Amino acid sequence: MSEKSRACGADVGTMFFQTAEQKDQNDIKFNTIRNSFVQIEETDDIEDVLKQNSWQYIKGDGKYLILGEDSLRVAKLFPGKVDLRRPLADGVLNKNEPSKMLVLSEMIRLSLGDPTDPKSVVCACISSPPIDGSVDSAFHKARLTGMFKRLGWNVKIIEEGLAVILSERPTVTESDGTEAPYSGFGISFGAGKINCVLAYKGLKILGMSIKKSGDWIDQKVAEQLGVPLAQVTSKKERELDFTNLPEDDDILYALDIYYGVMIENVFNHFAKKFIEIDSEFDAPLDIVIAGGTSSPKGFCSKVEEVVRGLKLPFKIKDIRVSSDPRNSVVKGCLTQAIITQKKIAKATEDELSDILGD
Amino acid sequence: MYLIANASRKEVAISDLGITLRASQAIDLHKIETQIPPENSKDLQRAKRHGAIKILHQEELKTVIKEKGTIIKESSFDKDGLLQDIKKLLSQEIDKKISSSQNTNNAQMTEVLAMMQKIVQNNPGSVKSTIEESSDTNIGQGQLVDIHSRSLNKMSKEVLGAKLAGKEEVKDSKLSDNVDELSKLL
Repeated sequence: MSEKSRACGADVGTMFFQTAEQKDQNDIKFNTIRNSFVQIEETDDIEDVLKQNSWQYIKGDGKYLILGEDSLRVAKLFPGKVDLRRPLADGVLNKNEPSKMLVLSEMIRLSLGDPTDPKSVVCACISSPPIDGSVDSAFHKARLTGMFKRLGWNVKIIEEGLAVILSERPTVTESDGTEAPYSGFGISFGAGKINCVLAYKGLKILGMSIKKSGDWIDQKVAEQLGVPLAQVTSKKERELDFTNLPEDDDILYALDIYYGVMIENVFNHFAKKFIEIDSEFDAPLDIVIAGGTSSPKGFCSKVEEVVRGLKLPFKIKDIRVSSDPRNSVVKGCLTQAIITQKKIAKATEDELSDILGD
Repeated sequence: MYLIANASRKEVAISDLGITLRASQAIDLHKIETQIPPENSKDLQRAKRHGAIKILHQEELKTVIKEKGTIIKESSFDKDGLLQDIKKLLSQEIDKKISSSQNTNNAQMTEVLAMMQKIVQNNPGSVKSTIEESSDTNIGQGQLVDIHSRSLNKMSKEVLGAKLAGKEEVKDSKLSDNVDELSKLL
């Protein structure tokens, strides 16, 4: 008897590469890999050193590349001698990184593995169209699709903000009192980009992305205060709490200021887009938030505080941060993968491309 | 206009622009969408250095802002210069073939060459239309996916690596409820 078809979610992010797969009726298995690598020089005993340390690596084209969390460990062990490199920058494949394709495609192959049958589906997400002149995702989408397709997967691609909506289930109360699920705003605050989608009953109405996100905040604070970038990032991840900000800490104070600028920027841009499409939404909307940059404690109150001072063309019903902000996007991708797989199971060959949106 | 031609006998891919050229194919890089501006392409420069790609015509772009903020790219099109470049490339190619062929009668080949040059001189329009036809070719999303899949298969043919493990966690979720509800909606 053949194995059951697989359905997987994949979030290829600037900082982390995540996969999700349903384990049983209620459980999801998440796998999170740091999306970085280091290249080390070939020496006579290189393979022994790698094996002794159990570092995860690939060997190809005469190069030894250490991947994932181990790359960070090695970079810390040899400061100044080994550079930590990233296959992605600003939410798309890093145009300045020559090994990006090899590293990312191998990361996908070695973590996700092969599909069990021709009906297995992977759903991955990409950024919505940019509104700030940053690189769009058209080429990135083709490359990402190619990486999964060559392993035999059926590939469904959705926008990152929509993944948040499929995962978090925001609602709108219609004028007759009925509830429309999967309707409202989904915002993913990633490291490289912020992605927003307005959806109605699970269908995207409007989407946009902005570059000024987590990495931008870290850079600005480091520039303003003249402190190393790594120190800012580390402090942000370990100590930032918007409900308890010590006034004498320059880094935390600056982080608070730039988080405010980032939130204001995203809502102002989205308001303009909302007016442009002449939306007929007049009921108050739910806003659901996810992504690593939304992880600090009190982020939701920070958003509420900033939004209160803005004049927006829509009413807000509720703002909430996902209970699991780091896994919300990949969970949304998994949800879409399972739905797509069910459709594929019943579909004819001709209907496949419509289902996958090719 | 930024007209380039594949001067080799094999297919040439310019990865950072996301394009592939068949043998002898010409393309205007200012007429297609590329991932980065062609002027900044390192892969194109590399292919040029190796002689795989020849730049037939390159002119600087002058950006003019018109009424209502529409940005257009204006350029002066030097037809004669382009024709000369094509003739030069054609002559070089034929010269190469003559010198590489042991059994060919040189006098005959020179005659053929002269005839071809005459055709080019007398019919500039036909040369132009050929170039326009190929430069209008655009790569679709499906083709791009296939190109990337093929190049990745080639690239990772001899790559060795063990299963990559990250931080694994299993969490309880209401996934099935969401899937059932969404299946009815979508």
